[in-house]
Amino acid sequence: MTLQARGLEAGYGRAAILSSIDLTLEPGGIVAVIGSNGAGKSTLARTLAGLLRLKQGEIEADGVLVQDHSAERRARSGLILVPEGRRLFGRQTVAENIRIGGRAASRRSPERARQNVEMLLDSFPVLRERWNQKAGLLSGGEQQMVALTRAVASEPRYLLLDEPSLGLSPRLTQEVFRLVTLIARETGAGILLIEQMAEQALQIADFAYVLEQGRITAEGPSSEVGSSEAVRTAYLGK
Amino acid sequence: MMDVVVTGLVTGGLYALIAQGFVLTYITTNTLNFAIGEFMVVGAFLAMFLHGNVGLTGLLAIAVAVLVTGLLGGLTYRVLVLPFSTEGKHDTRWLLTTVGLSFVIVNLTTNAEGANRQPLGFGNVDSIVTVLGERVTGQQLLLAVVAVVVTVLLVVVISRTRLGGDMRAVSEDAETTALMGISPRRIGALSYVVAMMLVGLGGILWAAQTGVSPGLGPPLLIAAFSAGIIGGLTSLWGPLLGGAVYGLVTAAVGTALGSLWGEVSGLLVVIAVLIVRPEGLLGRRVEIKV
Repeated sequence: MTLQARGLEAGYGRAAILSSIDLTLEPGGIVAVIGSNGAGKSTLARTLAGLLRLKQGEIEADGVLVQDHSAERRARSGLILVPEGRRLFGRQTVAENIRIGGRAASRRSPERARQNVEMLLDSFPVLRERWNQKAGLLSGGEQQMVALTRAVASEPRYLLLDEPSLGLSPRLTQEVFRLVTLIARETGAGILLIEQMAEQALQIADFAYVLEQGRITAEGPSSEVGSSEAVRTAYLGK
Repeated sequence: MMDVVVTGLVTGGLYALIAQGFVLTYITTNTLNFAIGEFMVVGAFLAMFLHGNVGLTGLLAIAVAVLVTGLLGGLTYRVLVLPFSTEGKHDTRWLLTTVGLSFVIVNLTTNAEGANRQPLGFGNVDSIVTVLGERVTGQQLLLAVVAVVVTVLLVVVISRTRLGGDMRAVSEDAETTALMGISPRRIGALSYVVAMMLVGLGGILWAAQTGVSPGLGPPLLIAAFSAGIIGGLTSLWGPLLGGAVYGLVTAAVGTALGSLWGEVSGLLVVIAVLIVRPEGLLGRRVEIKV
C-alpha cells in the first residue's frame, strides 16, 4: 500500500522541468516536498494528479500503474490533489463545493467520507457558519479550509497538497497545518505536503524531500533534513 | 405597430431556440458549433426521410431525427472540437474545423438533394393564431413556445440537479472539476448532444413551414448567432432576450425601411452590444484575475 513515483520526467512542451524524480508516500504518513519558487513543485503535483502527462517514468498507486489514467480516474481511485491557489468553485456555495468533492468518493466509501467531513466541520466550526455563502467571498484562510474539507469529502487515500500556505499569514498557516495533521490521523490518507514554508512543513512531516531545479537533491527523516547544512542555508535562513 | 411587436417577438423564438444550441456548449466547453445551420438542415432532411421513405409517423420521425442529430453533435464534439481545443482558451482551431464541417454538409446535402426547397410534408401547425389581436402562423407561435419551455427546462436542470451542478462546475473551472472525479469531456459531449437536439428540433419545425433545403441554415445561423451575442453567450436566459431583441428590431426596421435594412439593423445592434457590453445583456462579465 504505497504511492510511488519512479524516474518521473515531466514538463511543458519539449522542456523537461522535472527529471528522475523518485518518491514514496505511505498511508497515514505526512511527507513534505520542500522547494523554492520555480523548483518544480506545482509541476510535480500536477503530474502526480494527472493534469500533466509525464514524459517518462511510472506512477504506481497500491500496485496499479496509473500514469496513463486521466485526472478524473485518478481522483475516483482516491488520488486527490488540492491545487495551488485552492481553486474553489467561487460561484458556488461552501456546501456545494464540499458536495462536489464527494463525487470522487461516490463509488468507493461515500459514508466514511461523510463522517470524516463531519469530523472536520466539528473541529473547524467556522465553515458551518459559512455553509451557504459563495466560496469566492471567503477569506484566504477559510478558502483553504474549504479546499481541504472538499478533498476529505473525496475520501483520499493519497492527498497531494500544493502549497496550502500560499497567501496565508504565518498564524493561518499554522492553523492549516494543524488541519493537515488532523486529516492524516483521522482519515489514514497519505499526505504529500508540497511547500515553500520549509520550517513549518518539516515540523509536521515524518519524511522530507528537497526539490531543487526539478531534481530531488536531498531526502530523509524531516528532523535530519531540517538540520542539514544545505537546507538550513537555502530555506531556513540560518 | 402592435403587429410588428408580435411578429418580431414570435420570430425571435426560433432564433432563441437555435441560439440555445450555441450557449449550452459555450457555457461548458467554451466552444461553439459553427455548423449549427447545417445541423438544422440535417435534422430536417432526416425527419423528411424517416417520414417519407421509412414511413414513421410524424411525431416518431421528429423524435428519431432529433435524437440522431444530437448524437451527430456528440460525435462532432469528440472528433472535430475536442482534439482542436486542447491548448487552453486561446486555442480556437475548433472554429475552423466546425466551419469546415458546415461546408462539407452543405455540399453533401446539395449534391444529394439539390438546392431546391422540398416540402417536409408534416409537422406544420396549419393555422393562423391570434396573439394580442395580431395574426401569426401557428408554427411560429409553436417555435416560440418551444423556445421558452426549453429554456425553462434547461435552467431548472442546471440549477437544481446533480448533473447541472457538474455542468456549472465545468463551466467555472474544467480542470478542477476533473480533480473531483468528474470528466469535463463527458459533460462537454453531453452538452453537444443536447444542444444539437435543440437545433435539430428547431430545424425540423422551421422546415415544416418553409420546406427543406440545404440553404435553410445560413440565414438562421446569422440570426441565432446575433441573438446569442446580444443576450450573452454565458447565460441560458440570454437567447430568449437576444432573440426577442433581434426579432423585434429586424421586424420593426424591416417594416419601416424595407427588409434589406431590417437585417442590417439587427447586425448593427450586435455591434452596439459588442461595444457597450461585450459579454451580452445578460452575460457574465469576464473577470481578469491578477
